[in-house]
Amino acid sequence: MQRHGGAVYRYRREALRDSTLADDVHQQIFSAVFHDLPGFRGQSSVRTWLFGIARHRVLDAAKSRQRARARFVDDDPRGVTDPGASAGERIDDLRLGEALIACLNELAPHVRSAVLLRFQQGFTFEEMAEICGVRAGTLQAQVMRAMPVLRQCIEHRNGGVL
Amino acid sequence: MSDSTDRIEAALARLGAEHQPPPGWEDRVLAAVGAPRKRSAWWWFAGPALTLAAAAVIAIAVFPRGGPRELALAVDVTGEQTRGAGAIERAIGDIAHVRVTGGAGHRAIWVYRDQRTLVTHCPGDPACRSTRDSLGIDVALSLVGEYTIVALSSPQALPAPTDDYDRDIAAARMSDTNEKSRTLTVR
Repeated sequence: MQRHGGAVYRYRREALRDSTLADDVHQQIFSAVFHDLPGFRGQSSVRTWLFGIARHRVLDAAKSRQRARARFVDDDPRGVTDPGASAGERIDDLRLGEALIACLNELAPHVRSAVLLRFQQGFTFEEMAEICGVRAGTLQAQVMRAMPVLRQCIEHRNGGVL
Repeated sequence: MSDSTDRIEAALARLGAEHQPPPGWEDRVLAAVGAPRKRSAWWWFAGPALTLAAAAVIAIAVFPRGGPRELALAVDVTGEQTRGAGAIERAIGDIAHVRVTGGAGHRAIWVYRDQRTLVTHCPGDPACRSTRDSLGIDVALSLVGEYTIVALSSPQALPAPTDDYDRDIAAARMSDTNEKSRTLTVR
């Protein structure tokens, strides 16, 4: 728990963008890990196995939230469009990070999860295939398609500047 | 790859780095799965703890070379810290000064990057400093990644480490091994 807790926390926090829900899911992930530990056969690394569990829990939670949000509006204050920098400038890292969070939120949960596993957690597509149970090529295509979408979204939120 | 894509990838790698799990989450997980809690109300143990502490002080004073000390891992990092990232993040070029004391029998330091690459191991590395009471090595944090520094001690000889952190730790745990670890993130 000590070794992987921080990385899993970062992943599921950005994947869900809801601190209360995410804290619950964090507990559920590691409770599931304890429950499933006797069945771990060592065919993958502990980290890969752990993120497989985390991804399942995150996607389940995202689906539940999507159903609940039929009645509620997203309360993420960081989803607001920023007028952005003037043309010719680059936005700073802070504004890039804020826009990125908002734009990630617009991706489908399974695509957002793939992007985070690849770039936030540094998994290879082969490792991601073990985690997600999806072919590496499919995941690579998802991630490669998502990157221009993210770029356009960030630029749109910052007046055409990145 | 375009500059904007590079910036987005770098921002994704940094995403959430400032956040840590909420305090006490490990205890809550252990409680949920029915495992024994690591901590309880401190005052329950205040009386016995004070008695034990007093006994320990007397024992150390009377028997200064008693049983083996507990394994201890100290890691000091010198160099430029990554701006705004808190104490857990370090910059390329920093040096981690690792020192292990205590423990019984054989001691070792294994350092991995991203749990896939064995950066160094001590004994084994010519830069390793070994004395009767301690083991030490300076590790250059020369690449981006998560460095896991593991201190081990065992009454038996420890296995040679490989590039596979999980397999190495599993092998070490086959014998009566104590271990301590620290993680440094280099960005």
